[in-house]
Amino acid sequence: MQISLHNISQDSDDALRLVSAVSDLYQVTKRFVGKSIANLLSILALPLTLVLLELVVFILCRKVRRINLGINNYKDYVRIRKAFDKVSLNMESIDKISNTDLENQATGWLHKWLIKRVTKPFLMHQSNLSAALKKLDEPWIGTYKGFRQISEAEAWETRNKNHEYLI
Amino acid sequence: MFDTKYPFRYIKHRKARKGEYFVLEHMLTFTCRANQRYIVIVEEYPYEVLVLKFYLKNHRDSQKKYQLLSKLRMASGIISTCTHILLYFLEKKDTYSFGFVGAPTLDEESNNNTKRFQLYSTVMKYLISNVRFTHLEFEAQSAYLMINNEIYTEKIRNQMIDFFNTHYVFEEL
Repeated sequence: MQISLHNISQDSDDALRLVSAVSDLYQVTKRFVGKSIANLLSILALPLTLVLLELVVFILCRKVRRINLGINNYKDYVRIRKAFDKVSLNMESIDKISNTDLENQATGWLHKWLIKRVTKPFLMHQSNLSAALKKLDEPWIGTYKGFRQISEAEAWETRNKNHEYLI
Repeated sequence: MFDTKYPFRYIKHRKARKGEYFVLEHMLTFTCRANQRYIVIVEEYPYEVLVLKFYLKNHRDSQKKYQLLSKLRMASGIISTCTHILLYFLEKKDTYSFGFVGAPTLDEESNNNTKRFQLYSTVMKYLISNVRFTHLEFEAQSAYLMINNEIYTEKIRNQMIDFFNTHYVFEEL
């Protein structure tokens, strides 16, 4: 087999030219894109910093609220606050709700709150939670995974069974 | 619900002045969670009946201090503390009987079955058993009487009711 030396040299020249052309193109592209990104960043730097700061503050606030209340979202927080207002027996609204309703509703919420506050942050053992629920001995009965609302009659029965008078 | 109890302290007592029907008046105080001070007056009547009254210290100069609402939304803790004050007196003498009147709020026109009476009577039934005390309710005057079963007889019961009807309930409200 015969190999032409002329052909080899021409091919290598072509390859070198191609490489240098690609290299030039790469350099130009790199410079152009780099400049664009730098320009873009310089324009967006201030707003981006502000957004990031806001995000950090928002996350921190949520974190603090969660730590304080042991709850996961703001809606729960509002509902629990409302429930607590009922627990503290708001004298102005007592006309509208009968005592039993008030008590049942409030303690129902208390149980929910207890479950959210106690079980989620500390992963309390189920038996401990049941004990805590028993202590409150009100219409919500059961464990963390499946608690149910019981009828009023059953609630009063449970309550009378567990209730301890002061004297 | 009524587990909260604020620490209270005994301040003083005084004897009745002319025209007052009680024998002795005790004064106690406690501070609630909102850092507001309450004054508790315990009046000792004949037949060893203690009548408890309380008001916010800020309202002490008002003539309607028993009628005003604090709007602190801490009624359960305050009522619970007052109940413990009654127990504090019971520890001193176990033959005491207790009573109170649910004063009307500013919106309420009559003394009949007031909001306070409805609330206090429910709480008393919840916290104090009828083993030690006989619970008597007077809806028309919003008055509640718990007669100690150690001294309870029909005669004493009627005497107490007569006494309060003539001297306290109708005059006070």
